[in-house]
Amino acid sequence: MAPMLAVLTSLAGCGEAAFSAHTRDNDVGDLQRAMAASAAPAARAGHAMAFLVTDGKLVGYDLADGKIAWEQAADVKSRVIVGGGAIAHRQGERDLVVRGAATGDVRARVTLAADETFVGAALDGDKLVYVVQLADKRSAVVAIDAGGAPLWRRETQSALGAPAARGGLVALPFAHQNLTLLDSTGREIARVRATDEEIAFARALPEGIYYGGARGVYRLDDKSAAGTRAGSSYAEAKLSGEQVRTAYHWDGYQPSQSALGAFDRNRLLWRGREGAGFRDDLAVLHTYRFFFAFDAKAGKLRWVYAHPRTDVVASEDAGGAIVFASADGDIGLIDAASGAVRIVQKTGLRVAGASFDADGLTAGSGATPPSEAEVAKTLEQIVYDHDARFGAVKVFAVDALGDVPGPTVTAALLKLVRAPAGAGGPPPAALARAGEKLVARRDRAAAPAMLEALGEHYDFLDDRTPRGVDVLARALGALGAREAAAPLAAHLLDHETPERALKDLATTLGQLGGPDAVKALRTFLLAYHADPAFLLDPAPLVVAGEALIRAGVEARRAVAFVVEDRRTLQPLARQLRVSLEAADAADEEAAKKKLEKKDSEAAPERQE
Amino acid sequence: MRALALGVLLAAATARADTASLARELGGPDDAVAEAAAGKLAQSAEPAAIAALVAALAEGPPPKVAVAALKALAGKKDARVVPALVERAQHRSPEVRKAALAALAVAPATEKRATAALTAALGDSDAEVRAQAARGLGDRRDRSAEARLVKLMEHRDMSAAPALAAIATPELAHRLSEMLGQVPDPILCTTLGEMLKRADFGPEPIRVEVVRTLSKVPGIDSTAVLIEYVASTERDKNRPSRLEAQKIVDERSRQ
Repeated sequence: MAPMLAVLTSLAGCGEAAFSAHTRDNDVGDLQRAMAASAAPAARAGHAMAFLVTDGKLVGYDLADGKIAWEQAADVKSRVIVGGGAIAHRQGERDLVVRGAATGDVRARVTLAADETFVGAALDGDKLVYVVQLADKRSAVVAIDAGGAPLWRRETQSALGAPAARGGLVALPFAHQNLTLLDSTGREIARVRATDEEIAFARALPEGIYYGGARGVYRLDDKSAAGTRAGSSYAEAKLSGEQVRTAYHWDGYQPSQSALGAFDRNRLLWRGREGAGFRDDLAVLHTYRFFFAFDAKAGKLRWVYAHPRTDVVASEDAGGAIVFASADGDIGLIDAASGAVRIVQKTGLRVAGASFDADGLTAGSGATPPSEAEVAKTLEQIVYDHDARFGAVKVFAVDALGDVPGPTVTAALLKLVRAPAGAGGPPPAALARAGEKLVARRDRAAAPAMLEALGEHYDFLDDRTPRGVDVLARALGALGAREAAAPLAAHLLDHETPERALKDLATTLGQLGGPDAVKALRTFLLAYHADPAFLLDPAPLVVAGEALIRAGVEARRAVAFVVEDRRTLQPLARQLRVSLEAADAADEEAAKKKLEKKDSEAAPERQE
Repeated sequence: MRALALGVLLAAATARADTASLARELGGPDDAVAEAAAGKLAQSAEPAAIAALVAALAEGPPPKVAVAALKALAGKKDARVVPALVERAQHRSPEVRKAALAALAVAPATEKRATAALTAALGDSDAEVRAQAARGLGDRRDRSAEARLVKLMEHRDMSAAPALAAIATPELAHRLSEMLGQVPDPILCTTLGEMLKRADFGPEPIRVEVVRTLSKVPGIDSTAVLIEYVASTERDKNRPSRLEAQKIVDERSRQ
């Protein structure tokens, strides 16, 4: 009786109707049984294919032979969903169509009801599973067989997200908090309830089922029962910089994201592996024309690719290679490990979107990996790209550039620091970031170039406008380059030096010290201590004064004069008086201690 | 005699006392008083007055007071003056720079540091400062700045015109004539017109060449310059350049 009761208890969670509020969640046993029901997909029978959505047509492109395999007239309204030997998409206003992947011929067609809004679909082999939102805010998940005959339909009062299907198991986000798992009959056999964040997508890959939200990716395994990030096989891709959106997958709850759109051009490409993390620790950011491959753990750039001229409208991580299609019909492969690029073919088609059945495809031996210098050059090209949409990408590229070692990159950063900000050029944020990176590199080898840059002063007639003097000051200060004192002093006293650079110049001169620095700081402080132009921001003068206080008794006299001068800007006088008194007190204390030490040393002698 | 000597000594002592008092006011907290003191020190023949003004500048007065002190130092023949002016020509306040340059403009012609500071200031970011520098160089008739003044003209800065006219030689006139179409017509016409106004500019064939260059510039700017030239040479009716100018004006008036 007892064993029977135990079995009944263990099955209680599965006995509920799909999406019941009473269904058991986060149960290891349920999850294990569900995963056991999911078989790895069979190997692809035919050639790797790309399915291109172009003007009124759907084109099957054979990636192995490098030619168009078939073309079908089709009003494609969604991203093309790829399954084993079949593809599916929304067509026209209300139809869902399943086609044979090898020919593009229609195998099945479903017409959605007037009150149904398409959310997303998945192919499990040649069976189609799709989710619709109903007019009364309910949701339904529906399965049809290869011939279009209905297999089952399940409805819920809550929201359902786009499904993923893998070897007899359907996974779909449910009520924003859950990932629910249905078997091939539509029975809910397990449920994961996330406690840390919304589950917005489910994704089926040959290596397993994955799910997640805005921050990261969970692998469906025993640990999913924890429901937490910490307890699950969870991974986040670490990228350098936070300017570019890093979506891990389409938001399954958004019907608009089932259509082709900007999201296809701005997302993170990744593959899974056993346990937490990404395959080869690789995450590739695709944004418009650009691909940035990162070590997802360390956040370090591995390679970068900038596609010429036109946007890449679709991309996929096929395991060994990133496969992509551009708006002007280029289909290419990038070796995932090295970044070596091979353009498979220029189809000349005007491509609005694409999907790929290309798992296991490689870039081949004909592609040459980019050198470190080429990576730096590509990043530089991105930063200087004239397309104004790429502001965030440019900042991101500067971040990535800063992570690449070597003198080429230092020179590139220096060039950026001195570049004019303006329409079509690097955005101010990118230039600022370049400055931060240059300072942080502490590249001693770059000091001569920085000193040479400091040799430039403003001249209206010669069209010379030095830029980045503040950054150069900080960078040379970080290097402790005393030889920079004279050129920095010249900029401090140059009336054309922008006000915003003065504080950095004074700070660095204070750090470097020496006669040139002290003379310039004194001249600067005396010249402007009573100048109302510094009333709002006397910081450069304060910094100069405090540097002079530290520079010794002789230099301190100028500060004493400024403090006593009745014309001195009041905020400056107050601050310097405090600093001067503190320095005098410290000097007195030091002198006293010195005297005491001398006395204590002399005392034993007296005793003797 | 003794009384006279005593009187001179007393006057000198009073003057010194006044200068000391004015120097204190110049360094005082009231800008208006300081500016007035600078004005009075400018009138003083006391060497100490110059010393007071130079010292006041070295102590970094507010820009208004610095301008007054710089004006007071203009034309003073003292070795300490030019270095003080040159230093102030680098001040962040354009007003101070202009005052320093105006004072440098009247420094002795042999004072190369003054010319160098004025020439450098042609590259200032402030148009008024550039204009002040150009004016100063024109006043000094210093040809060493020719290349930068031509650049100023190429940068479409009208202040180059009178300065270039002031230093123009036949060679420069010829060079400027060849810049027709490369620089804005009003600037070129003004330059050539100002050149023609100079009594010492010549010889006459060069003046004719300048007039013919003006004839190639269409529009009101060149016509106005030519009419002005004809009017200003009323007493020398048969001058070839005037005759040429008159001919062009007549032709234009017929069109």
